[in-house]
Amino acid sequence: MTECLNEAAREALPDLLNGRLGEADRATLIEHVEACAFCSAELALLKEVRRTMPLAPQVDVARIVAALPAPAASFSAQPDRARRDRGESSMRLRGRAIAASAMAAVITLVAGSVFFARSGTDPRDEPVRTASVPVVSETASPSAAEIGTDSAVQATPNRVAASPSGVVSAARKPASVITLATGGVHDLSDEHLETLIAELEAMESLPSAEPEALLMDIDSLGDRE
Amino acid sequence: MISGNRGESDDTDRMLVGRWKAGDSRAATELVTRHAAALARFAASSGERSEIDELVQDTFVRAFSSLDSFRGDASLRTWLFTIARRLMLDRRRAERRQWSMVPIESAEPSTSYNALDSLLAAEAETQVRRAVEALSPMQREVFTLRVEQGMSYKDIAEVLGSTEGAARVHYHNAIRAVKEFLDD
Repeated sequence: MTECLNEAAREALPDLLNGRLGEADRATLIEHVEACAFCSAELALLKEVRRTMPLAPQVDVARIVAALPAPAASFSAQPDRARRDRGESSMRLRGRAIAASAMAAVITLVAGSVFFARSGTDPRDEPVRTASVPVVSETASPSAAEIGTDSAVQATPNRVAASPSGVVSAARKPASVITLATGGVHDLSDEHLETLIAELEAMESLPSAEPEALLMDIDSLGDRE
Repeated sequence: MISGNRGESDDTDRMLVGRWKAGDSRAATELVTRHAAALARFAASSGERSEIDELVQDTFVRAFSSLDSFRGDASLRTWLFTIARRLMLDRRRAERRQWSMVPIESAEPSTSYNALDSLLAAEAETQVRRAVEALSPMQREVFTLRVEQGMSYKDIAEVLGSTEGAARVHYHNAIRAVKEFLDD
């Protein structure tokens, strides 16, 4: 039998056998095979080889899946894809916020007492009134973040403005400032909680040393009194 | 040029991998279901006779343990086959046994052929199996992956750690050898 000169057709015979050709290619190749004795015989041989290949035992899919490691990003408590798509639940957000707040409260104790002692303003005029939780801004930086009980946080040092009472107030709109009252995390929306967590986590990455700007602000406040 | 059509399959695998990484355990079940049988057939065709299910499980465990390192350059199936092949080689090195091709008994129910037809069919099957057994290990692997799995030469090269050109040559030499064996 004369060998087929159509290399492309011969090469594609296993693809035809395994159903891996598109409709058009499949039709073209079948047309060729029907007209070519060599390719027709080779395709028949390949079918026979495939048919006589050893059968494999049944595989227990469930057993294999049970043995797999959990993914690193697995939400083991949230297998529901819909819940995952909506993001973390409010309870989880609040739990994380409380944990982050507790950590930040340690920092608050160091500098917050200074501001607490100087505070004399009406709580309704200020974004923050708590003595135990930090106030964070949208962009936390060592010079911008003021951990205080009665002060709002500035986004940048340049925008710090002291009120007549000596309390530094936020120059930004409230929308960009997250404020907390004592135990107030439960009152916050999911969006605010997410922002709070992100900002507290950014604060975690700050150097442990007292930021210079904070010290500077304390001094300047002392001059105003 | 006639080309394969596996893009959709690869896209599905990538999507399932992404879902699994995000925590969807059902994606793992789908991925295992999609590829386990093919891996088992590959192992059986490569000469594994025992604990094929263990081999397949080990392949998936290794793959899922290092999915972060899977960049998606090759298809997931190719990657799985590469892992399975390495495990088979490790097994053989550890057990120091000869690579044999003892046929596994067919699990298919008996047909309504008469006795002579059955005998002739069985003989023909035996001859084909012997023809494949007579191939060199590399030719057998390439031939099996191409004919049974329909893998492209590119993917075969990836699994075997070879080149596309070499895979192509091995395949054509294999089919020529099988034909010569059966003609004798």
